[in-house]
Amino acid sequence: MLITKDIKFEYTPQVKFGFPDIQCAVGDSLVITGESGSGKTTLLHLLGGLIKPKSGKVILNETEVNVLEGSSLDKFRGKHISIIFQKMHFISSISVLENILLAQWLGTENKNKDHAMQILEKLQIADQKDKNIKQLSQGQQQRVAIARALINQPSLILADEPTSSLDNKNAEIVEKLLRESAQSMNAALVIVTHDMRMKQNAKNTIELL
Amino acid sequence: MIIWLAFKNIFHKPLHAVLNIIIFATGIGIITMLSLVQRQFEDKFEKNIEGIDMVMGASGSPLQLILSAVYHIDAPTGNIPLEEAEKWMHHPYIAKAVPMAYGDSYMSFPMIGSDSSYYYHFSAVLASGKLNQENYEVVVGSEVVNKLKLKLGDKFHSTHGQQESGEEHEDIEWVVTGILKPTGKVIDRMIVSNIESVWDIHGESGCTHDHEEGEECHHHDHEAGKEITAVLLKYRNPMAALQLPRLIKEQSKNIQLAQPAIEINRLFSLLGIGLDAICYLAYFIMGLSAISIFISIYNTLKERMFELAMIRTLGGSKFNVFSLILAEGILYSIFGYLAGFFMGVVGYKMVAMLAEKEYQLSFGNLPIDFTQQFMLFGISLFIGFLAAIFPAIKSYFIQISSTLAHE
Repeated sequence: MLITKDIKFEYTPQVKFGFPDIQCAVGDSLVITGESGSGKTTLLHLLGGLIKPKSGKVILNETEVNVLEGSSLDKFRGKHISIIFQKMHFISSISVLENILLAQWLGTENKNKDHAMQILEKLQIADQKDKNIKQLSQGQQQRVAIARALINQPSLILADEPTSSLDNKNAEIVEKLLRESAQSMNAALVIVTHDMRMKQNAKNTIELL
Repeated sequence: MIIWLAFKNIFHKPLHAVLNIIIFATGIGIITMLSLVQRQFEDKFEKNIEGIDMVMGASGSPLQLILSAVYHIDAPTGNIPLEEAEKWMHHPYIAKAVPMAYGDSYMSFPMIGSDSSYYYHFSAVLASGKLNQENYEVVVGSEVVNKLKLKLGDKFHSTHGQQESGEEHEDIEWVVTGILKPTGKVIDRMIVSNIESVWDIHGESGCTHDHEEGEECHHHDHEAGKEITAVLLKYRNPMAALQLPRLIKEQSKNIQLAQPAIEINRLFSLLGIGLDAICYLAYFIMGLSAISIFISIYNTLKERMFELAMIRTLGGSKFNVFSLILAEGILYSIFGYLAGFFMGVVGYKMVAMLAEKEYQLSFGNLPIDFTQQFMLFGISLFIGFLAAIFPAIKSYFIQISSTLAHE
């Protein structure tokens, strides 16, 4: 369960944001839309604990994320929160499977190759496991990013414009994949997008102004 | 996992990695090789002057006298009359005197005429055959045997001078009657006969010769008494060291005394200047490699900022990314050190082969200076640390959000 209360953030006194309160239960999904500059990405980073709100609370499963500091914040994030960025970042010197295993190790300090392979198989990219990320197509990379987000069975999945660079058909597939995965994993899913296609299918939406 | 990732990152750009490692290794390799060669030389040189306080020979360069009389890697300075030499050989101040007549060789291995004191001096022991010799019988050192595949009863003609191409003494046939066990000293590459044979081969009057004086010697056959080339001396007491040189200088004008310890020290200190210069160059190369490693890491850091931010997002701590970058620098230096050590040993082996070919100096074991290697390894780690610490600090303070948002 993700709950935010009255969070505010400011880059400079001139550029500041106040965000509406959010609630997203496990297995549920929430689509946040808004124009560029409305603070979508900022909100996402606040939810993911990458930055701290100036005031207000971000609560995930009864843990107040905004008070965590240093490596305990890093640990908490690694274990409970997964973020899929608009542009996908992988470690370019290692293979697809190794990227997944690295995420596993960073989040849980364990490596489970079988589990990693299961996820890759589920996302139908198991045959790409030994390739370098750069050899994969955009769609395949997206799947690897999703696989990496799912590997530690997080409580919260945050996705920043996951479908913006995809065509209608693929956007639909990815959206469905994200929803189903979050549901099966009992994770709350928050998608930030300006992609109106997603808004149409979403039950819960918030529009940032 | 971090070290594994650092390893993967380094070799993600293999050419960069190999270049960095080669530069680093060159520095380490030069230092290692020089130290090995220097130690081996010093060991060889010092081992052979044990028990020799003074060398007596004809006037000339004292270093040349030592190099020829003790190591047989230089031409003799000339000859001295036996009569004159014997006066001092039996002096009460002298505990041990080894007379030598030399100048000929066989297949580049020096031949020498001496008496049994020569074997005692080197504590040489027979492997087979006999020691006490008739004319034209020789006892050969272990290296000579190995190289020339000589065995008891083999016969050969000697050559005038040290070179293989020298004039052959065709009328004289030497017979191998004894083979020595290895001693690790210069006698291993000597062919030893009695003095009389040397006198005999160079005319009835018994005059040995060297390159320069050979001709002259034949002309003066009749007037010259028996001559020898040099004598190795050991003093009976410290008093001798003070008194004897002065006495000899006063009474025997054309006899020179040279102190092996002093001459060899002089030689080493001359060589040492050159070696030091090369060593500084090697340290300079290592400094360069630190810069090159720094540039490699710093350059890739820019493009890898996203990767590092991603690692943080995935749960990696500040310390994780810090140690990742630091590990890259230190891995470079470890690989560089190992490759350098290997290069040094290979280089040393090559020098050893060359020395063996040119001077019949065989380098036995690998005289690794462990203290020095330990120090070099420490310096290596420090260089790797130095090259990576600033990029590592930079990645420690990475701002995840702004790095990933501003793309």
